[in-house]
Amino acid sequence: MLIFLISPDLLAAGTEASSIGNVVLPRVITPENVQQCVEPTDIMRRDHMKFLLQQRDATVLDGNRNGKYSLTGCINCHAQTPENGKLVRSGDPEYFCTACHQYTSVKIDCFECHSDRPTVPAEQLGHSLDTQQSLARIVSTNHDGVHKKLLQQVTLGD
Amino acid sequence: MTNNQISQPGSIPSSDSRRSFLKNSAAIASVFVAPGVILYKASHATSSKGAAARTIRWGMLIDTNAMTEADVDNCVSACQREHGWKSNGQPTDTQWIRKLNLLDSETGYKKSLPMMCQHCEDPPCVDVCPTGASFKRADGIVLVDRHICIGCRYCMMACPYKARSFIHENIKNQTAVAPRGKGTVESCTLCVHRIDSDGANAVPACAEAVNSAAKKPMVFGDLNDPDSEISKRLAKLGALKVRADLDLNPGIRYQGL
Repeated sequence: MLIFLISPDLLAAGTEASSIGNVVLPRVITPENVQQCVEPTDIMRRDHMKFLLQQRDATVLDGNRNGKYSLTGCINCHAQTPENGKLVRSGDPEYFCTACHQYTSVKIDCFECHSDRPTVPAEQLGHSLDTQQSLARIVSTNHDGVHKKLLQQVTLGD
Repeated sequence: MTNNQISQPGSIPSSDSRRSFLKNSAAIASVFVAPGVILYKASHATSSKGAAARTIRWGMLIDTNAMTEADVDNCVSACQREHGWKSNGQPTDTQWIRKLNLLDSETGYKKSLPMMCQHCEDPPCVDVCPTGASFKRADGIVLVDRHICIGCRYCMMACPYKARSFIHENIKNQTAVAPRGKGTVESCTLCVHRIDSDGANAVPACAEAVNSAAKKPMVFGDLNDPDSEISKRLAKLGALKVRADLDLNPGIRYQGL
């Protein structure tokens, strides 16, 4: 019964996503009113792993937790649960990181240790400027909008 | 062109071009070096601005006379809540911090104290680590970089305080401040995430659980700063370094033992 209820959604998701030939492009979840990530989209697609690696070492070795490329920062914006939506975990194909990594056959193990859930609720994203990254600052422009409808599903092809 | 000119070791035109070539290449090299230097300075500046500074040595003073057995239990449970670990009493369980019960069999005198990573100045866990995962930060906090820990557990063998533990099973629902995963070694971090955020005003979770307005048995602070509370209390009453004979100079000090 559960499978029956979920499957129409998944089917709908599959048909709505843009595709190249028979290959369906991954659906990537981004916060609704965020104009830009910490870097432009094309740079983030290509180099996000380099930014994360650099930030990782700066944090672990030097204790510098103020950088804008933190994994927590990614998760806080990209892994919020949509209102009335299902709680998406890192193993699910809908999860922000997993969507593209499955498409590109990349296997990461970040979430074997790291938490895959946001550290702040969506409605507080804009209020914690000290701990949040630049992305959160952009989100802060519209708290109500974030709260009412946090997530918009967009495709990579857009 | 005369023979005389040809026989000269370096004719003027060729010497000139050679000199200019060297000059140009030196100029190019300096252009290449300069951004590197600037980059280095910039990254160095941001890292010192972040948290770990060489001038600081974080430590904690634990006054066991002011602590009841319940206080020690509170320390342990506060650490468990903060970092999301559990212990079921098995010998191989996770132990970031544990309760030590001491008994003087001659007099029957009992005492409980919290025991965790002592954040040594010369940590043996760092000496033995084959990958460099076990390391000491510039500000004296001893940590495991679990991105490069291979789980060999040499550091657990080397630690005289039995402060480290190994994760045997897959873990889910970790807290955001304490990433933990199977196959790596872990120990007390002195609540490094709090220190990085709040500096000298930070209070580790264990200390937060037992300190109150009435008493303050666990004092966190900078051992290098003579004006810090921990330094003043140490200067007044002194303290014990556990296994001082090993000459490791731990950053955790105990009073009343």
